[in-house]
Amino acid sequence: MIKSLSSSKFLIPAMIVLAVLAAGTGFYISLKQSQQKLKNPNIEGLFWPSPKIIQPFESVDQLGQSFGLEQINNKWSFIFFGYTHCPDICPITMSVMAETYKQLKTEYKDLQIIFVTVDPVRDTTEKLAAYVTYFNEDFIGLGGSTEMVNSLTRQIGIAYYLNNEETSDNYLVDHSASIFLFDPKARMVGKFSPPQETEKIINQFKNIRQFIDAQ
Amino acid sequence: MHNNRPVLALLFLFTQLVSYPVFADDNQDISINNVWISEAPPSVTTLAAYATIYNGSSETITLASVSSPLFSSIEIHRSNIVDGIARMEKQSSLTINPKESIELAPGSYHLMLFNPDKPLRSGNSVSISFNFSDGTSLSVEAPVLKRQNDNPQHHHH
Repeated sequence: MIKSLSSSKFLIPAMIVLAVLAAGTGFYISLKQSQQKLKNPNIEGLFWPSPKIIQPFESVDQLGQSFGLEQINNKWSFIFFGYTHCPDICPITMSVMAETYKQLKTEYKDLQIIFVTVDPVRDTTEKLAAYVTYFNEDFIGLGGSTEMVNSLTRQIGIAYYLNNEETSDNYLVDHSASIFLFDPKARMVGKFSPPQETEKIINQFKNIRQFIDAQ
Repeated sequence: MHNNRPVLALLFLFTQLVSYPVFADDNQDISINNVWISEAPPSVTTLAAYATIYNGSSETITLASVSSPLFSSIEIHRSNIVDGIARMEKQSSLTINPKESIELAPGSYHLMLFNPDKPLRSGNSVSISFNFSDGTSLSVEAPVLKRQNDNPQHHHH
């Protein structure tokens, strides 16, 4: 008797409470989703939110000087990987970056273009200097020991593989064909995926930079 | 640097318009056009060369090897970007079907030239022999040219 009374008495209020809870949860989820959309605007190649922040690293530039995190700070840096024995893809990327830099530097004075060798054993400082300055005298070439190069590739999250190294002096190196963009706070904020084209890179860079500057 | 761009563009156009057909005695039907070697930075000892090979015959032909007295060796390679990773794949030979051509072009099939005897600058030219499996050998003069900065269709602006 008491039992049946209490169930009929509480059934309708319980249903109302449940309905309100369900509606509230639904509203909360859709609100969260719209917030996420703001946090992650639809810009090609943008790493946002929570871009990776580069930790201290060591390398040697094309002038034989040490090059680390300090040199990445306060500038917009384009970083990509290759090796001077690579006759096709690497010079294509270098030529595209030379043209991109030439066009961008009239508008932006805080850019640096950095080529990192994935073959530091063969790519000595002198070779790197001759290589990067051929494309543009402002370009930076980074090398040093294999450990130094690895300290950078590991952080950026790229892989490279040496082919036939034991059987030939003319070994090949497979490597990432992407160009990575770092903001003045040493955050990896973007990536340009192959195939590389000047116009595409410039548009993407401007979009990413505008977004980061507005944060 | 900016001033010589029209000249380079013209030079490039010239190579695109003027072909270098070479016919061997026993095979009138293979032609090799648009051959060029990409100028490279002075420290570089591996260069790339490009060409279009046309097989006008009714038989399938196979490019077995490529040689030049100026280089220690020449290999046929193909650049390939898979999942963002650039790699070069050595090709033991290239097969060209009847009435078809194969293009050796930047970012794709190319010749890899090892250890030039002397540094090559744009304006130089080098003789390269294309050796086919039927015994045909075609020699062409390959001019050294500066690589274009970008896709030709983007050059108007």
